[in-house]
Amino acid sequence: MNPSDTEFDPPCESEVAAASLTMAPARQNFLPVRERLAAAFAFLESLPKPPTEASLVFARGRNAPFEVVPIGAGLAVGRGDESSLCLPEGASLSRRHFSVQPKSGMWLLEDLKSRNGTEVDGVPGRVGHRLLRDGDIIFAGEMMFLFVNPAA
Amino acid sequence: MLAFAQLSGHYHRWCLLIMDLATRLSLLERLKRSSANPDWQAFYDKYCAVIVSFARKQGLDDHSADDVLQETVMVVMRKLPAFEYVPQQSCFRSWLLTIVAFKVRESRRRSHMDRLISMDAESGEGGEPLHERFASEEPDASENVEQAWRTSLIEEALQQVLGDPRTKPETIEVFRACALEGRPVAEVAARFGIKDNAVYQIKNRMMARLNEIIASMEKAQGSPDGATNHEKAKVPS
Repeated sequence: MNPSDTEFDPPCESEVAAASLTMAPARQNFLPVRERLAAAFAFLESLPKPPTEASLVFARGRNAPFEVVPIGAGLAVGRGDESSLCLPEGASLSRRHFSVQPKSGMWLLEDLKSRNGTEVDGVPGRVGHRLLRDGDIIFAGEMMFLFVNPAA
Repeated sequence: MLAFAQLSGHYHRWCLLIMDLATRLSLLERLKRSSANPDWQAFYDKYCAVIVSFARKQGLDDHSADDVLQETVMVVMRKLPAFEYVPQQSCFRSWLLTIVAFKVRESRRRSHMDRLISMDAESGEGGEPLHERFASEEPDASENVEQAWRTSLIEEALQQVLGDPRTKPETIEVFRACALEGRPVAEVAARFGIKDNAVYQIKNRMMARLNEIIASMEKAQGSPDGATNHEKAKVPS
């Protein structure tokens, strides 16, 4: 793909007519994405330095500072010692709550059969697994995690 | 925001998040962003409709189109500080188009992978998982990205022309009949009880308005902050 830099020619009548045929109903309300992004940027602006690799950003409590944990070869998040990201502060987390692992160049979130479930903002219901998008906000129990992937 | 949060069942969490972040943001230098980096919300407002329309034109559903929008804004805001205006270089729109097209392809690939992973999870059988066996087999992607983007721009401009509350509904109907549905001028004139010349005038006026909107969108999309076409930008390497 090599987009041209030429200026946009005014469309001819037939082109406008063709566009009107494929025109989907206008969607005025993009609020969910906007709100998701507002939260994501608020997370990122609170960090002294933006993450440089795929990471989870979270706070251990309301007054705790945000932390950045690189996912590296994979990460299991939970309350118990057996989790690679152990968060004993998360009372509503299961011992092994969810994991994020690299999968064919993408990042796969998997709920590890947690009691309170794992949710991703904008996705209805609990998620069993999900290939994460840059800027996804993950809810596990009462804790929130922002997934960022600067390589994306 | 309220309706969305209630619907998705995250209301109390959102309240905590907003309260928490509001405190943090007031304590932190909220406007620390450099002036070269425009507010992400301004960028979002300017481009969201066209990006979503483009993504849907590429065959993505609403959720995937929203994901493309989310990821595009994340990438643009991350890379924008490295974006430098240099005359005679590729413009911001081209750079943005490259990002959006890439995100659309990625979204398609992700949907493909998602299906394979779901099938693996349902089958629960041993052996090589489907998502590893077929990960490289991506569905065909449309290559005519520039044309699809152009159509998205025309559509967005057309939405604005047809939705302009200052235009009389009858004028819009005349334009729709003669320019969009291709009805003969005489037939349209008879239907609306006006002269042929009035139909031509309405059509020309509306087409001129459409071109005006497209020109203004094109100008605004030449750079992240709406710089004119002669202020071109250099894509960060």
